[in-house]
Amino acid sequence: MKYQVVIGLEIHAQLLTNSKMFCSCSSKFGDAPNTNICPVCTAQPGTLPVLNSRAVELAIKTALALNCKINRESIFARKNYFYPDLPKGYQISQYDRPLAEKGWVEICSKEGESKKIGITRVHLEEDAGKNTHNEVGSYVDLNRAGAPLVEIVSEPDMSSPQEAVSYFKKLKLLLECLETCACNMEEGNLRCDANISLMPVGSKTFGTKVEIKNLNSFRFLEKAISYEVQRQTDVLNAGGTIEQETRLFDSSNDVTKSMRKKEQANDYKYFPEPDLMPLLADDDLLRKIKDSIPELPDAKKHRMMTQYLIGAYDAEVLSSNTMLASYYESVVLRTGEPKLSSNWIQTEVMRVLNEKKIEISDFCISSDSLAELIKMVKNGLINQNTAKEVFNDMLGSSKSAKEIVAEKGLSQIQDESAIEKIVTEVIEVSAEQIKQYKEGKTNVMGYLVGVVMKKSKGKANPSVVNALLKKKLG
Amino acid sequence: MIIDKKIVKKILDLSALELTDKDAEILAVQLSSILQHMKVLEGVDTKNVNPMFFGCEEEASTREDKVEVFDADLIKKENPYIEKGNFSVPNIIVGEE
Amino acid sequence: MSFDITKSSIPKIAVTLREKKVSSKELTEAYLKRIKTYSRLNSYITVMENEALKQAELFDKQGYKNSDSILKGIPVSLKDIFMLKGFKTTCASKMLSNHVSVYDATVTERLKNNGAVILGKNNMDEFAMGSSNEHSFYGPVLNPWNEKMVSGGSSGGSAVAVSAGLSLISYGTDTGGSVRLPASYTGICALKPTYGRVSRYGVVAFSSSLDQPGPMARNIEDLAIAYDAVAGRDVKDSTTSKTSFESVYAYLEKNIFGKQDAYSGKCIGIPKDLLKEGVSPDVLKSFEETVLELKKAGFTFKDIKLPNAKYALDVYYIINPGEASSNLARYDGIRYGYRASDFDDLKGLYKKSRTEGFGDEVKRRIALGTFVLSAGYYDAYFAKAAKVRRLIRLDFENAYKECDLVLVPTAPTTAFKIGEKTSDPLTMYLSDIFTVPVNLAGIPSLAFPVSVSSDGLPVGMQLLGKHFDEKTLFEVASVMQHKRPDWFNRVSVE
Repeated sequence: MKYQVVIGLEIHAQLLTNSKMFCSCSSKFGDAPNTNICPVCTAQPGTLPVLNSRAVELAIKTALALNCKINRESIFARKNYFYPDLPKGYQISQYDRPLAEKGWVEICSKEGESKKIGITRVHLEEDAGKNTHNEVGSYVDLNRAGAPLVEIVSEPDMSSPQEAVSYFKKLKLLLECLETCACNMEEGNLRCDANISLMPVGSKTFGTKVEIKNLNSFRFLEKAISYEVQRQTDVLNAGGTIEQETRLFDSSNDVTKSMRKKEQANDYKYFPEPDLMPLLADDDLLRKIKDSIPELPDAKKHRMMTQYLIGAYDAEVLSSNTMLASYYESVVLRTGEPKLSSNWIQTEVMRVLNEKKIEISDFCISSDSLAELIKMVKNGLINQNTAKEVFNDMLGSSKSAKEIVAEKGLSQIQDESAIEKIVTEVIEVSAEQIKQYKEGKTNVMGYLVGVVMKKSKGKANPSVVNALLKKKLG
Repeated sequence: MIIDKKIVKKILDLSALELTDKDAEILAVQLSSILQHMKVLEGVDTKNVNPMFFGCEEEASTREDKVEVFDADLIKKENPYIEKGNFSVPNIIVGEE
Repeated sequence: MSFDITKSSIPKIAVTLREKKVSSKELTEAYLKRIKTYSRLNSYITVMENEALKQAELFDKQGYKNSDSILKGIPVSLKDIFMLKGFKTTCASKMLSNHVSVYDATVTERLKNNGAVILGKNNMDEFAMGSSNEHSFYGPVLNPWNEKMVSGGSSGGSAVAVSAGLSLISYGTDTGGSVRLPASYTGICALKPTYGRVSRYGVVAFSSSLDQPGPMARNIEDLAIAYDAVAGRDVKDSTTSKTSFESVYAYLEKNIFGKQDAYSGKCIGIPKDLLKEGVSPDVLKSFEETVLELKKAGFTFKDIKLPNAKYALDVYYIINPGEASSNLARYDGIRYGYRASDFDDLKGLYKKSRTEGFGDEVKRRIALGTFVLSAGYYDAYFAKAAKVRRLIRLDFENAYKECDLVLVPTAPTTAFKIGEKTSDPLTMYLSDIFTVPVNLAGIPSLAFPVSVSSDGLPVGMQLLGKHFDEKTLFEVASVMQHKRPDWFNRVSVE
């Protein structure tokens, strides 16, 4: 029996605000436990929530970028359950009428084609605190309780672990680009739960879905889904049925494990939050927020392809990071060489970024400096090999390309007669190779060019050398 | 519909309360009174009526995203169960909600 | 002191303070003495002797300027449901019996800013759940008119404090009648403001879409002053109205006081259908007397219909427990409050702390609330009740097309015997029949005392108004007080 994999993801992103969702405590990460607390977020008797206007704006901005329809009126709801990290005994979220619905996002599926993943809904809610445990007991830190979250629920449109990762990566990229979330998965401000089910190929009924919680890295997401798909396949093939449950990913063993089973599904007793009035999103607000949305990665990619005549793959890579794209475009502006600039960035620059595990913003060679180097190659002042040498020198010093070339006397020999002199010298001592060349071994040319280059200490222009040799040898 | 022991137990679990069997029986009778209320309301025509979940018709109000610091010690100082700055509880079995 | 504090009013005392004929310290001492004398009435849970005297002395030292608030130096009391920073707020529950507030309610803060002297926190039904003040961890409140009778609830302690002269004014909260009902049983005035008029920030939440803090006093001028001091928008409570608030007392002073005889033109609606069943002969008699007085004073009357008001109790006893069960979920002993000492695990901590910390009525309501909200029942119960609630609100909006305000009794009977109704909560719930529709619709209601019944117990009436039209209610009540001064300013004990 062949099965179709059906995956949906629920992503929680902490909104980039100064204060919490419903109170004025700082939402900063990493402070000493229970220092960013107040009567509201510790649920003292008699406290009431007051909505953070910036959280609303950032959530709407996110929903618009995800092509969602913003509901004119959305309602807050209480999700009631008992847990120590939930001080009120309920979480203020949105249920029946969320902030936004029916959006989509484009990802690259494995064949290099675009696939649209539907977004069911985007809504506002507050975060719970954090529990830690040891052998003796558990401990609750409420610094995070009340932090503003946006929850993004996808349609079950993904059909492989790779697509799921692609989607999650795309979402992270969008949130970074919009600056609505810090997207720091180690700090837990971007979290992912996956819902996975299998159904027989061609069937129209979904299978039972299993939820896997807290997959907070792309690697874990991919591994967890792969394992779970296999697990469910094995169960079904053995004639068993899938139980609806919640599982956790055990990263030390790369398996998913069942959480304690409950007798029944959770009953959250949802009802509209009486302490918060319905949220209205009028046209003026939406227009203002829409205007604040920067060029998003997909649009950027398509524009770069058209504007710079670079291919889809190059455009995808360069637009995958806002700062990288900005760097690239700055270089192109100065060099006028989109393809050449693209090559330099993708090979040399990104090599260094990956090696040193740094971002382009920490890269020591500015776009101006790199542009200067590339222009020197473009103008024939130095050749490609020399340029690479200069590039590496630039990494270690704060000198410009011009300075290094001048200091080391690396300028290409422009004077053709000087090159011709060396070519003549080499021809004189290469009788054997010339004989081979004239016999049809054209690749000997490469060897001869190499000898000339060596004799010129790499400063000859290789294409000039090539031309001269051909001319002399006929 | 009958409010039986099973329903009463479910309600008590969801409310994080426990009652003696005798009191649970009394509760079952009292819960049945709710059904009386419901029977009355069932007969009321509410087609196309917008439910009134809020006490008033105000619009949402919001506050500026500004940080204000509250003296956290006020909240912690009377609590004898604080350990290393955290509120302590019996062991939560990880994975149980 | 040269005058009887039990027979005075805020404006009179304010003058006396400014004339230095009395000091706040003397007033405070006098009240503290009376509180002690009548401690058997159990009106107070916490008496703040030292703090009150300290405040009074401070204000005396500062002196009383004409530009100071009229409330400066005036002793007041608060239902033990209002947060008061640094002092206990118990909500009459074992759950919070040792809880020290870490912040002030907005009501508390505004009173402090006005220079009121807070004498202490009044007894109440536990977590405001009750109509007789018999469900308190600290024991029932006795009715000063007849100590075998209930005071009414849930703001019983506050009502008794005002009625017995144990504070000049008090503040309670009203969710289904909790300031109006005890006011009626103890012969004083009370106001349930329009929902959203007074901030709920710092008021222990009971039923969030119904709760409103409300002032209680012996006469209309004190009631107006008490109301002015706390009403108006509060950014900490998102349900408070953004409509501007104007001083009712200033308005009354300018337009009504001294001019009551010239006042006329209002039409009062009477929902005859509601009065057909369950109302005692005494209450009916008082009702008719009240109508007569109002007619004499020049008011006109209109029969109106509130066809859905008969469902009010059914709606209330679904919505109220639902919201309450959620509001009380935070009481688990983890961050504050009562924590059981004997439990095996986390679940045990929750269950034992809550079961031991809450009284029976509270546990019952929580269970009821959980039931109506649970999956499978929500649509049929909670959502359906919310729809009928809308109809009740619409009934009032329609009625107000034909009249300016509505007159009904506050309670169907006078105060009943302590213990008479506790065994059958359903009978107890019926006391709320005239008060509950008001909370559901969100309209304001002013309860005022009228004639005393044949068994020597007070009877009260309510004026129900349009949303945010407290002004009209105060106007009419002021005329009432002018015409029948014997109905107001009564003191129930020496």
